[in-house]
Amino acid sequence: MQLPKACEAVCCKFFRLLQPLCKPIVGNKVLVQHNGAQVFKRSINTTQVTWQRLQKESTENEIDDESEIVAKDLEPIDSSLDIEEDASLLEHYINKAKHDLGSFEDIEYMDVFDPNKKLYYKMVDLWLKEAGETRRGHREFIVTVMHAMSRFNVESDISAYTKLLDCFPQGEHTGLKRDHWFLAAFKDKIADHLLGDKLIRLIAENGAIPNEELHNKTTDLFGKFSPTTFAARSILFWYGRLVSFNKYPMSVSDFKQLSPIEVAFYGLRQINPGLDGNYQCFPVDKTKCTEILDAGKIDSIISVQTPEQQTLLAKHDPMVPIFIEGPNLCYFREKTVQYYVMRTDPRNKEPDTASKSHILATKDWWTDFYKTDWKTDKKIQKDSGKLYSSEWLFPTIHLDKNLSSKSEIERDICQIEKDTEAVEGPVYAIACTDYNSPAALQGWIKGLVQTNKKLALCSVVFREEKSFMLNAPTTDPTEIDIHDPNFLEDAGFQ
Amino acid sequence: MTASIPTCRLLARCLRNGQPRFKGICVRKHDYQPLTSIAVRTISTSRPRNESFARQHATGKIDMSWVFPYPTVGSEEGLNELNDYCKEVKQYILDNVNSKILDHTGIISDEIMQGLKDLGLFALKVPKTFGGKGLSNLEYYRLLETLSLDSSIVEVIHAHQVPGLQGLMQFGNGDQHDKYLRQLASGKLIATVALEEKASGSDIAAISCKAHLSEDGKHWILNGEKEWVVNGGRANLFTVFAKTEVVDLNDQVVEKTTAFLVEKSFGGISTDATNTTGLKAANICTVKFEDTQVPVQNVLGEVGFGFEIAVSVINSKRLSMGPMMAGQLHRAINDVTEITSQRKRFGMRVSDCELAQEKIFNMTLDTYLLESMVYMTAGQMDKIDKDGNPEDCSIEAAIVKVFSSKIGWSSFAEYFQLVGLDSCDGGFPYQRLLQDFQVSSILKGSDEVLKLYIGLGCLQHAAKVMEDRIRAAKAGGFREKWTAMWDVSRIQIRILQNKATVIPHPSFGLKGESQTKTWLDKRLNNMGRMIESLTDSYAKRVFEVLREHGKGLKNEQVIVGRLAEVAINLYGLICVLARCNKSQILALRNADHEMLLAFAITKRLYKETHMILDLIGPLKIHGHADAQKKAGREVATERRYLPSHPLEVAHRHEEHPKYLEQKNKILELTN
Repeated sequence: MQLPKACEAVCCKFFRLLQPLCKPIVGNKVLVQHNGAQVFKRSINTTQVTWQRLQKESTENEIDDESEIVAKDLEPIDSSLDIEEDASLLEHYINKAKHDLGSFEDIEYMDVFDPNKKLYYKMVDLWLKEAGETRRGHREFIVTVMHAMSRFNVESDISAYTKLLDCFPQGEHTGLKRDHWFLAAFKDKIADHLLGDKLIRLIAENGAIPNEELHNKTTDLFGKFSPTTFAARSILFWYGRLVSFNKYPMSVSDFKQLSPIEVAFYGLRQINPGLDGNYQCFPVDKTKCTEILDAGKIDSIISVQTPEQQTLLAKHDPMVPIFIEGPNLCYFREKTVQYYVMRTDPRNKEPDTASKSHILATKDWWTDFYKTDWKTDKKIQKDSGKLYSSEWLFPTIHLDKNLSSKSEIERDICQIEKDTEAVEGPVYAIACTDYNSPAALQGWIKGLVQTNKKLALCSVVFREEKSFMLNAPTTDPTEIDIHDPNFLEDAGFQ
Repeated sequence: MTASIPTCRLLARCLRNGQPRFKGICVRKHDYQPLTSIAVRTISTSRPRNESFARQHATGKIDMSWVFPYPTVGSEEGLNELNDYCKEVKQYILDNVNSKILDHTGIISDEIMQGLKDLGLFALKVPKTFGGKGLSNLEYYRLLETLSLDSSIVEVIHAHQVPGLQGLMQFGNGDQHDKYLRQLASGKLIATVALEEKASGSDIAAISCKAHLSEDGKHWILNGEKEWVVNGGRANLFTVFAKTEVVDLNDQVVEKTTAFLVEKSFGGISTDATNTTGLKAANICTVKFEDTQVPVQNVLGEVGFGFEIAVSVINSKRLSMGPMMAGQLHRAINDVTEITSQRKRFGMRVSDCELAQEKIFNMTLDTYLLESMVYMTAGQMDKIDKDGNPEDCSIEAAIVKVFSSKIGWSSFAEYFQLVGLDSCDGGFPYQRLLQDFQVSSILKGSDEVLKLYIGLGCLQHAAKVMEDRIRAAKAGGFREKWTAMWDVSRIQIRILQNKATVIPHPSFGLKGESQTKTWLDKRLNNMGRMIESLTDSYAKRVFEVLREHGKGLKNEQVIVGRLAEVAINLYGLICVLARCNKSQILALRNADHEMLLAFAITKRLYKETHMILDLIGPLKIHGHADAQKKAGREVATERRYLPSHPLEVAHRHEEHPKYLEQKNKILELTN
């Protein structure tokens, strides 16, 4: 069954509002991507939308329904930015601001200590002074500044964004305000509204904390029935809720300053959670390993092991091999982390005596008939079906499984767990490196042997299972021209 | 051969009442006999092992053979003898033992030890055939109450008598009895138990002490370390629990617990006294065993079956907490009334203030409750059923322990509050009372573990009894449900209707049957009715919980703990009623005062218990179980206090519009 068109549009709109909000949270949680779920990994470049483009859209779709516009807006926009022109615009104001920085008016920004940030506010102030009440050319300015946020290190400051909202023409007679639902049907000044929308999506992407000031300003500027105000309200609604799920929040600027080893640490913390986790950094023996890594890659082995895993490894049967599997990929925001897993096959279960086909051999027959052990003639305990009673202090409740009202649900869950039990063996440790050769990973085992003596007895097998993401084409799928007959070869398929 | 008509009728009734029916018409002479045996069965206390007084409450049943009569010492002569002996012991301790010095030095001197031995305090529980005194449990715990003048001495003597001797008496063979019991009675040997370890605590199945057979097969070689051994320095005979490897079915090698009797002369034993906060003279030690050679004859019971012995040992040692606390609280009440009557504040005596009197009243209530619980339980422990087995009172003993440690904290708090600042200067009796209480209450098992033990024990019995009802409620549609319920109830009704064959069971009898049958004093009728209704609602809640969670209840620890609290309160209530009834009927001293206490206790516990039952009920509005579970789990996983500091602000509060709005509103209102 297909949804009616208007309904679809509403769904799309809702999804479109939520998606940027979810992203920082999802990024912090580190999606382990086994499927080709690259959809979620959109880079910031997709927000590069020039105002010209927006204007063009608005003129094209003036006659159509709103639903269609929204649907079209969702399609990936791959227009290139006219960077040179904007850059020169920005440079002009930056230079001016630098020149003007020491003046008396700076007293307003006394509490901003970062000179870059101070420069930013100064620059916007200068522009406001020059542009006057009409704010001529505000859209160009706002778009260029939106791309240059990282340059001023103000990505996670909400006041920087509210400052940008001041750059829209203020006052009663701008024609921007949609105070009534009826006005929302018209595309009047749609470019401004969509630009405001983008601005708020950028706030969510960069992880700045929305406050009520943002909401007040957007309602004052755009009115209650504007997409911008919807977006502002939705991030105010969702931010607190989503943040409360996120155990380790991190702002964009903090994320940038992480060294590769720290990125690996944060990634490992998510893959192998637990406060007891023992993090170690092992060097790689470069006499044996011939691999050469690029700069900014992880050139040592960062390993994590919880005490539980350590005890599991201590109980490991040395006759069974241990596997090192990988490399697997995990995404931590925009960065990828490559990790290896040390594990074994699941242990074979003991043969179940109850389900075994019954042969009346002497021994079995004896135990069945007399309920005693045939050797020692001791009585077998009723509950456990063994000679010795299970040493359990607490009394047990004897009831049929079917009797309780909650047991059915539990049984279903148990079933699933049993199915997966046979597939996955216990994991003993996890490590992050950018090396791919077994020679490099030997350093890991050497390091682990110091705390896990059992590992010295076991045979370790390297099982290279490259994630298919690593084999995937490196080109951006949006740039592929399907009509080109050779596109498959260009993309790396054979 | 013909039987007369009345006997035939009786026989027919007897057959209807669940006697086995015979297939052929073959009535032999001895088949008439069971009539008498029916009567015996209803009166005698013999019952399956997992069924006891407190467990039965969960099914809505109160066994009147427990309640009436309230246990006492058999004869008046025996009672007089016991009282004389108690006086003698008390006099000896008051004359010779200086608790302050004992606590300071941490040693019980040899003279005092010899004096205690001469009094026969080490032979109390040893049977008379082996030269002991052979006291019953009731008499023994009465003596412990007297001895509680000094809690270290109580611990030493109790560790020798009950946990130390328990394993040997119950599971030892004749040779072991002959070898050790006489020496133990004379005090030549001093016994104690080495069970707890640092790594396992109250989880007795997880001990790490190991034993293996020597090559010649004559000795067990023992290795390991035990902690919290009371009187470890002076004791000569340890009951030690260790893991041994045994071969189970299918030739599997498993580790199971085994109990050993280890003399100090076997060698390889070193003791090291631990510096405890309280019970300083009880000589609590860590005992190390290094290649100690134990002869094969000294294994208690069988190899690999030591867990049962361990359970019975820890069950037996719990009850001593009750009489100890009872004795100490007696003295505390006497002390505090004297102090408050001498002190004048604001122009009146402190003891005349009603709020001070409330505190004294609270202490009295708790003491009265505890006393009646202790002697009820001790008296029932002496009962022996037809097969010669003693009554299973493990749950009741656990109830007494949990309750006594609960009221210990509250009553001592009231006590110190009334004494005032005099209790804060590190003065001798006050600080010591609290420290001794703290150590001894933890020594006898953690309260939470015991609560689970109590709750699960009651539920186990209830599940067995209620299985038919649960199945009936579960079965199919409405019609099947109704018929199944009807079948169950019909059986019960049929049993009830044939009153002629069943000897009338003594009960409060306030709900169903006529009021003349009750054994209760008339003035207590109201309380009896309250207890009956409380038992009913408890049983209903148990049924609901079982129907909802079934076997999964073992994981619902909050519910089980709450049910255990209810069981504790109910047991206390019934004990108080039984005791008060006795003193009313016999017109003992101050019976009317007791009446007041019993009335207050019933009212208070009735309300409290209903509140607890509401918390685990189907209506979640009453409780906070979900919030508790979630928040508790969050703090436990994060391992820190989670809320932000009250002074902390995420935003600049001056700029926050909401904050400004509120501020302005308040300013407008005030100006």
